[in-house]
Amino acid sequence: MFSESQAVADGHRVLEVAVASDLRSVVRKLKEEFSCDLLLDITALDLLATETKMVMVYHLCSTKHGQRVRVKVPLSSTNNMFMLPSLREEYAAANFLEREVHEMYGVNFENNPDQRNILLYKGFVGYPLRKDFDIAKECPLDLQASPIESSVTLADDEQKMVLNFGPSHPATHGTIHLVLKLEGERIERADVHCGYLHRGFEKECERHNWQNIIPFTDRLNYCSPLINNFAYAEAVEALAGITINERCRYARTLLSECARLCDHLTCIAASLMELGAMTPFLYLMTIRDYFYEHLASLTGARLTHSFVRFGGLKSELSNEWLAKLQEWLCFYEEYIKRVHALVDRNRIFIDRMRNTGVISTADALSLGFTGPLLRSTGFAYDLRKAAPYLAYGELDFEIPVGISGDNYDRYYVRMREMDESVSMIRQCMKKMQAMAVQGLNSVNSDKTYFLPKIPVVSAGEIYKAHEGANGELGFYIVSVGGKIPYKLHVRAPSFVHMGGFHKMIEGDQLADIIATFGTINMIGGECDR
Amino acid sequence: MMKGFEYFTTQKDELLAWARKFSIFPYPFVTACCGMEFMSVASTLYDTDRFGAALPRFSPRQSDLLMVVGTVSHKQAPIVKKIYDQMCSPKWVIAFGACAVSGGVYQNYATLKGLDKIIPVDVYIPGCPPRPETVIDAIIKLQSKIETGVSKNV
Repeated sequence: MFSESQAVADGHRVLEVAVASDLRSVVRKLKEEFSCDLLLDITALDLLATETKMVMVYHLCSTKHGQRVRVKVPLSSTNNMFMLPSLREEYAAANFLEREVHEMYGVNFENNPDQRNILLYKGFVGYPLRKDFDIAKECPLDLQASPIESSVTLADDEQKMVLNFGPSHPATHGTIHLVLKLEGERIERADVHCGYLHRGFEKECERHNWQNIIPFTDRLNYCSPLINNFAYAEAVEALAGITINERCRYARTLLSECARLCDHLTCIAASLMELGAMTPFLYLMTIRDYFYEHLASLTGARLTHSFVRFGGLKSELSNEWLAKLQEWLCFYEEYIKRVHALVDRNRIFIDRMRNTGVISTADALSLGFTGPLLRSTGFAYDLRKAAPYLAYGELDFEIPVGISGDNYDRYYVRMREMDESVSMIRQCMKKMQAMAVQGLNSVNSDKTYFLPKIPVVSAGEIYKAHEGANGELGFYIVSVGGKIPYKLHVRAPSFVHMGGFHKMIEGDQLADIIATFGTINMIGGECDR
Repeated sequence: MMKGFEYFTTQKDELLAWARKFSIFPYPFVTACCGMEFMSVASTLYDTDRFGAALPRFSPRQSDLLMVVGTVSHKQAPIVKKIYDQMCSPKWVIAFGACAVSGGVYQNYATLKGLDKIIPVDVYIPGCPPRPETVIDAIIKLQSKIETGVSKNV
């Protein structure tokens, strides 16, 4: 199926499917013979000005062989109407991803009956990610109108209830809208709507230069902005042929783990609070605030750090800063002990979390789940181990996994991951303290790494992923050379997870939504972009 | 009160305004990044309880301060408007963060360019996201507005 020459720079094997109708058989073959069990991402590439018009881009991954495949399907059409087969039957993840491509690019999918808007709203005119769409063109909603189109209906004689949950529900952190069909307290069907925080990130990127996109990436997963920064920077650096030195690698790893720590703290704190546990919320928030302040003393901002520079970092991590970080880690350990004592064996907590929001490994893979969600089912897949980047290959750490894939497992996987993060931060710290600090700009001070602010990025395409706090955070970038990207697409774990959320709550009680939604940790900025 | 006096005189409006000022029931309409800072403001280190504005009411009908925390997209706008309409007078509105103030960095097809395009706003908090101290400053400013009875929302 592949020839050796097809492996490209970013570690993907590229497969072109010339005839769109062959797509399903090709993908089925990939799934069965090459065990590509994860459909990571679907997006399109607008080439309307050229002969090809439109190219569909699929990213698949085999967790078994660690191989990655990019399938490209060129579409041509005379009147800009595009049609190709849906992959819904092969991968459950395809549903949400295809809906996004449909609304953003106007591509239609055969045998996918669900083509409602998902990030945009009912009545939106135009396809925002097509090149001929004017970014400033607004299409405001009537303030009395409903922004969504529900697929939940009741037959005349059905003795059931349709309930709207959200988009501003007090016990969900994140703006999500669920339309539920209830049989008593039991959820029979759930229709998930997101997009309430769609801010046009991808379109916005197409008019900003490489450097100016960094602040936008902060605001994707705003619980762990540094991971977004580094994942984006690595993709651009790979395209531009920039390498980073060893100290910078360690510094980025250390900061990534700090970000993961803050993200998990936020997630656990918020989900506990939503279940009524106020004391652990206050404990966890206190630690998080100390970390925020400590990061602010380095980066200048508590939350939106924008700390990365191509080829380095904005400033050096001094030994004093590292020493102080060590103090906060000890503080963290003391507080997290209290949280364990308050929560782990708490009867109310166990009753709410055990056997709720259950997902099996097979379903999780088919739905494209990654990160703590996938690991809670007992499947040890972590990019930091599977395809080590930065300094992860040189660190000693474990991948915590759950057993049954329920809410309790997800809580515990996150708690354990935080401990692993602390251990990794300590290892990086030790390594960095042994290196020479070369002044404020040491990461950049070596002449070869001193770069112009806006790098020269050659033409090409790349998909680079980091293990974000919620799962695989991938950046798919297409460059035609020049100072701005031609296309920048984010593989957002939260968005993919939302595509499978209904599966986790159907059959559960209404009140279980709170616990399940909390442990999924959907982050609006990343989900809706 | 001085010793020996058993009563003091005031105006009804003044007394009410004074009471209202220290018993703000906020409704946090949290949409985006600013929510992270809102959590910090509400918890131990910054603690808005000190200003009598700590008890979030998660029903618009029980609250008198609408805090719109984060970006309001066009999709979100009808929901904000509905929640605002459900609140009883007297009510106040705070636009929390650059996006709620003006759309912030997102000047594009998806976002509303400022909350005041759909509902009147009393206090604007700049910053992306604002630091917790800025939020406390805004609450104090709102309190002086409540005391003087100046509000755009009646």
